Amino acid sequence: MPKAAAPDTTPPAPGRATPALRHTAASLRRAAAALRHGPLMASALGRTGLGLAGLALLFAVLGPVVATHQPDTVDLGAKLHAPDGEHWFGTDQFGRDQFARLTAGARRSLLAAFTVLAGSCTVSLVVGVVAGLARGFADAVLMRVVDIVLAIPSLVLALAVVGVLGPGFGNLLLALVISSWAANARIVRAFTLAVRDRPYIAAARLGGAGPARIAVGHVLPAVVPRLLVVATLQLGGTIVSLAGLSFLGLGAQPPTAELGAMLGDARAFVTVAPWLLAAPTTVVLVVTAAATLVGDAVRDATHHSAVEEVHP
Amino acid sequence: MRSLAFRFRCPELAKESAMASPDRPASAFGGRFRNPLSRLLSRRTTRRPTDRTGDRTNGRATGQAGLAVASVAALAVLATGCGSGGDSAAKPAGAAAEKPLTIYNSYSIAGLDPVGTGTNWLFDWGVAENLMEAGEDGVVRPWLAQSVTQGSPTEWRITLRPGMTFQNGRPVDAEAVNRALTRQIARSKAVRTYLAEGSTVRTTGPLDLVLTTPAPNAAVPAALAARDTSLQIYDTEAVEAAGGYSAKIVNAGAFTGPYAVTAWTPDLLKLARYDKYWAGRPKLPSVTVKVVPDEQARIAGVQSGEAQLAFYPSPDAALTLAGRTDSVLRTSPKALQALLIDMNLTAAPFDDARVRRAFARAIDYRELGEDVAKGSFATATGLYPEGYPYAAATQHTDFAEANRLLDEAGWAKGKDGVRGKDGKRLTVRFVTQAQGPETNALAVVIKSEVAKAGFDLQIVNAEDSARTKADLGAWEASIGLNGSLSGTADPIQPFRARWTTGGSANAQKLSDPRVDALGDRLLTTTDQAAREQLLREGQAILSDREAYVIAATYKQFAVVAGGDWTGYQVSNVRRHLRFDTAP
Amino acid sequence: MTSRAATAAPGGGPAAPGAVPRALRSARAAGHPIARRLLSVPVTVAGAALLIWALLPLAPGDPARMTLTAQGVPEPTPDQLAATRAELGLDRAPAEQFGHWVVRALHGDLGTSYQSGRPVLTELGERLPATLRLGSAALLFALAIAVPLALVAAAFRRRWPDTLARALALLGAALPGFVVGLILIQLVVVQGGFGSVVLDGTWAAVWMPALCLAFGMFDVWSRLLRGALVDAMDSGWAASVIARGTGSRRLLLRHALPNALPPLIHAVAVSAGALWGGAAILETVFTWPGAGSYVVSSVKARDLPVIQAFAVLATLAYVAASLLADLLAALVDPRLRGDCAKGV
Repeated sequence: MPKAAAPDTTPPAPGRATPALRHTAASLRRAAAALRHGPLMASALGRTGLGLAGLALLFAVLGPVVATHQPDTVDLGAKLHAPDGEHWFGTDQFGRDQFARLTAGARRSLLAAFTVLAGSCTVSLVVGVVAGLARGFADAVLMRVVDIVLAIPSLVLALAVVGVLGPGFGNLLLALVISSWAANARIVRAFTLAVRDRPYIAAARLGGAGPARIAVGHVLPAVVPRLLVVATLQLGGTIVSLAGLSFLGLGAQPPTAELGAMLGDARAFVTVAPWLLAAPTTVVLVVTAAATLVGDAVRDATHHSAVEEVHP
Repeated sequence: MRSLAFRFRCPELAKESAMASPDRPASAFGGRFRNPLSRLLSRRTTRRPTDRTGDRTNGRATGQAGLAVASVAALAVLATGCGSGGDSAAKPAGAAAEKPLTIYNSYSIAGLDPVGTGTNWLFDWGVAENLMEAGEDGVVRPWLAQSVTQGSPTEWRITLRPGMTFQNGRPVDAEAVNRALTRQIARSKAVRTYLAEGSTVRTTGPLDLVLTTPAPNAAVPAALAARDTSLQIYDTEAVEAAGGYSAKIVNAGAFTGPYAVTAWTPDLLKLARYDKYWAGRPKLPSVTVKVVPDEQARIAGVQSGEAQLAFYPSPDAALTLAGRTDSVLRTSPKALQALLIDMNLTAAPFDDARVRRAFARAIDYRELGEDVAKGSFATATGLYPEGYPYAAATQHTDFAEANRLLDEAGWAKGKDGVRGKDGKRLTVRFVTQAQGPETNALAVVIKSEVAKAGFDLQIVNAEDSARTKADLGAWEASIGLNGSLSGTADPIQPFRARWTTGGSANAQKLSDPRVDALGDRLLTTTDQAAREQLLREGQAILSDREAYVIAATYKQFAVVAGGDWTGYQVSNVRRHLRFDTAP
Repeated sequence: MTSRAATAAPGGGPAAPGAVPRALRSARAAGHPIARRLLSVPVTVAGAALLIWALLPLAPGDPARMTLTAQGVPEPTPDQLAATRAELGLDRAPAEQFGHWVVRALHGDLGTSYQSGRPVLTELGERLPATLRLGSAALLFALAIAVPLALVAAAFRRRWPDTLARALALLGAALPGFVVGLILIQLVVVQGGFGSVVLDGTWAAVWMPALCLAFGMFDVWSRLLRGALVDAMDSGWAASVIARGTGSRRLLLRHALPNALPPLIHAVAVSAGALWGGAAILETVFTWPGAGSYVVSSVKARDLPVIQAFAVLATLAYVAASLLADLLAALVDPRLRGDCAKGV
């Protein structure tokens, strides 16, 4: 039994102030401890993941500062230049600097993925917590809707939504939220069911707290950290989905620099300018590998506490 | 122990099987974006053996596992079996490869009834013909007609070539031509833009007709030649028998061209030689035109030998095909198509002539013509490509003047280089066409050019640009092909339709009495020199003084050719398939 | 990624003792789980159909006009429009329209493509065999990679083959299939001069896109299977099997593998749904003449009846696959099959 999880094994006595705060603090302590001692740093893969994630973030955040060119500036005298001292990652068919475009693209893709996850988590929190707390008819109806949405393969659903709304980056983000909330809603409901009968929540209920107060003050603080773990696992997939649909021309429109759109542009030049393909491919690879490794490690790190919460 | 184990298991099974159907990745992309819960739940199943203390059932389990593997395999075989059943249907492209000429084209093929719009493709592929044609030099000359002469300001005498037949064998005589023209004048909206209501046709001999217009109309020869007027000559009985359904016009032999339609769907056209074609026996036994929307696929199709010609390559093709011998980029000798930029005149910022002029000066026409795609474009100097006698130089690049005009108009440069006025940024939503990849390539470069004068160009890539532009609140400027010029050599109809008040293609709401007056005079002026002078005056107002509209660049027609067809001569005027077209 | 972590079941976890009686009661009330599962299928499919159908009226544009334009009637008269509207049932109340659509769909009529003017099912039907070929080949490839990888990883746990398998799985998870496709086209076709850029949809050409599609699936499967194998081998009964002198290879193949199969079967079913989306992208990359690339071009052209029909087909295929997986898993796992039936 990891030490970090110990505090949580003794639930606060009923009636004591701010159990939710205590719980959140415990979660944070646990996460911090996990980061220091847990598998995230302990395992080589976790360290690699963190390293890659740091690299990717650095590239997305600092890249645009370091870049010597603007991502959209056209220089037709420098078309399809191979990587050199002037253009570190070469240039495309408009003579645009690929390094500048790649950092801008990485930033945009990462932000978009976080936006999709935030949207998906928000919707799923509302639906999942309401279903888990309400039980009965509302639960049955909500979960039936979730079942139905889940029965449509999600990328197919995303394609259909883009088909109705029309191609565009905003529409694509919306489509991905629509096609991903349902699975998370089911997870949130399971989390809610696991905590709703905890002694301190039961006590709050007895103490006269309304459903809204219980949901926001007691259930959410317990559920959100776990949902974040799940969301970390989904980050890589979201980036890949975004890139894939943008690659097809359904997302970012020209001349926007975005990883998928850049891959799509590179397709025509695969013979004459392979670097146009290589650079965005590497970025996608690093970002998704980092997300996968970190996601796995975070899951490993939080696993024991999760089990203990279920078996107090 | 056993019963306890069972009590642990069964509720879970019930729960799990109720969930199992939607148990799948949250956003499945090639199996990724997994729903962790589903994985975790599934794995729990495997943990169950931990509860067990014996392995009595393991032999049985193994047997069943074998069965499971066999079932999975059987399933796969079943699926693949289904696949091979439909084998022949799955490769329409492969089957077409036996044909002597296969063309991959980008746009879907609209209907076959010339009364509808969008039948100008009938010229492209040698199916239908007009009484007159625009030659490769842009000059209008007789085609099915032997001569067209003006009898009086309102009367045009037409004499047909003798001995012509429709593809179904019926004669192309004055009566048949009369019926076709009369039906088109009565029912085609496209014709109406050339020939006013009340235009009549009467037969005066076996091969002679007279076309009478209610008022003097100088555009009649152009109308008879125009690609877009739809004054095609066809067997009206054969077309009317189809009742408006294009599929029934197939094989009716309703047209006069060297190739007859033997199969039609909007994405596949099959043509067969018409042996008794009036100008000579067509060189190819049959032609297939297949719609392949993806440009890379069209070009790759030529490289793999499935097709011999791929139409509508993007400007990138010149770069990607450099050094190849199996597929070459062929371009037409002349650049007769202009890519025009028009501005939304109903709202800021382009309701101000100074801003429009600044925009026109801020575009580097030389860069667009020479550097974007060498060999595909030519530098624009005015609305009409050089070579047309009425072309006038009305455009030039001058960044200093652009900046001065914008300063004058009150648009001040902001910190990020974008100008603003009264808290509003100088943003230009620039509509391009998804169908025309060159509009997007040009827009990317134009964005970079006009940024130097402080414009913030935002590209709106529209699937249907006409629909996007119908909402005047949704765009500030747009770029598109002035395609009419290429197949018509007639500047008058496009002039009136695009730039006079209430014109059918006047999306920018241009309304200028001087331009309207020029448009009216053009319609009635038959003297060549006088007409050219009117057109030059028009250009001075349109693209210089008021800068309502400018030409971004002129475009050559480009085709990717492969196989035996690498010497293919590309037409200036989109006559892709003539009777003597051959490798 | 370790085996113990993989068994973490948030919330619904290994049933807490206190929860069992209630859950058991509800399970009994619901009748046999498989029966219940079968009953839920029509409801789910009908709901999904309603959801997909509802996309069409939401979209701008007049379906009657678009249908007529596609049929080669570019400027339809008001009479023609009215007739087509009646034919499509657009003049009725929404609920009635949906019923109408369902009845037609049950008769195999999912509408007319705006682009081609042909029945959507004919269009998709022509392209479906190529997609099924691609999908089944990809499933087989993924199994052929995932199962040996997981067996090797489980047999050499925490040694270099395990690490290698893990790295491969990571690569599979991190590199999108369409990027693999672009790289393969560049290396194999363009530089190696092997194969072709435009594929004709036959078995001979299927390996390259199928491999890329499999690339997106095998990582999940191999990690899942490895975890399950390791769990099984760590369990108490495995120790007793070893105690009776069973060799480790026999333990892995004859005892652990069968117990690890049900989750894999579920994962395969899940992928059968995901395949439809993945195929859409990969078919475009390889210009594979299947339903996926067709639907991508339909999305760009807003050809809604095609998108609708594709979504319905994908949903049906997916629901059928997961139902089949449930039955198969019940068949494979003796504990799931017999005991519950007796217990209820």
